[in-house]
Amino acid sequence: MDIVIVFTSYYFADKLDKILTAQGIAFKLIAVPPEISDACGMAIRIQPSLIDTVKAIMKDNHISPSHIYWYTRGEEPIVYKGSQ
Amino acid sequence: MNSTKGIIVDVRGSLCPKPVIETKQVVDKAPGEVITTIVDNEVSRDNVEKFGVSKGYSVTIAQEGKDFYLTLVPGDMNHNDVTVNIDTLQESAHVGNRVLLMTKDYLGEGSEELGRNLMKTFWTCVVEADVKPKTIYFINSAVKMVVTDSVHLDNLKELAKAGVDIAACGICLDYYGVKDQVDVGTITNLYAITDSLMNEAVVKL
Repeated sequence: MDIVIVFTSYYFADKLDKILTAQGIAFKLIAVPPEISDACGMAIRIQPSLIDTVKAIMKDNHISPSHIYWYTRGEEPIVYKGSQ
Repeated sequence: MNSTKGIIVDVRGSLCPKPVIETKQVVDKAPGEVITTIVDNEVSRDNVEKFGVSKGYSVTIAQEGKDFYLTLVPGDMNHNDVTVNIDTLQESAHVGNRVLLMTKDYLGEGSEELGRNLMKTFWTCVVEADVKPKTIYFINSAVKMVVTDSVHLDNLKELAKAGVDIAACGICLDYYGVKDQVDVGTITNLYAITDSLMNEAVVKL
C-alpha cells in the first residue's frame, strides 16, 4: 500500500515534483487514480516511510495538498489520518 | 567453421539499415529459401534477427570471431516441435496489438513543461494498463527516454519485462550522441519502423 498525495492544482504537483527530484527522493508523478477521483489531475505517489519527510517539504515550500490517501490499485482508498 | 546455408547475404562492413534492407530484398525475390545473412556488429545482428522472426522465419545465430551468421529458415520448412513456455504465454496475454510511435520526449503541444510531466504520468498509466502495447518505437527527441538517467527508465523497463518490444531509432540516437547509452530495449532502423507503420495499428504521440 502506497501513499498518494492529491493537490488542488497542477501547480502544486509540478512544484513538489521538481523539489523531490532535486532532493533525490523516490516518488512517482502519476495521474490521479480513478479509485480516488474521476477528475483528471496529477498526484504524487510515495512509499509510506517517506510521508513525514514529504509533509515537511510541503510545509517548508508552501505546497498545499488537497488530500492524502493510503492507496492500493483496485481498492477503495483510505484517507491518511493527519492529512488536515 | 562454415556457418553458411542457402542464399548468402554478406553485409559485413555495412551499417543499419542496409543489412535488413538487403536481407529483405532476398526474402522478396526468393520466398521459401533458406538465407544466411552475415553481419559484423550486434545492432545489425539484432535487427536482422527481429526482421526474420517478423516474417515468419526461424533464425539461428552462429558467431565466428567478430562476425555473426544468421540463418533464416522459412516457417514452412521449420519442422521442429515448438515448446511453449507458459510464463511467456501469460506475459504475452497482456500485450495487445497496438504500436506506439513516440516522436518526442513530451506529450502534446502548447507547453513542453506540461508535456514532460504528462509523459511521466502517461508511462505510469501504460505500465498499469491491463492491455499493453505490442511495440513502442522512439524517434527524434523521444529516443532520450530510453537512455541512461532518463526519468522514464523504470517504467519502460517494466514494460519491457512485461513483453513490450521497445526500440529506438539508430539515426536519432546517433544524432543526439547517445547511441552508446541505451538502457532499455533495442536499436532499430527506419525501415523496420516504416514497415510497422504500413502494416500495423499505430498510435503516434
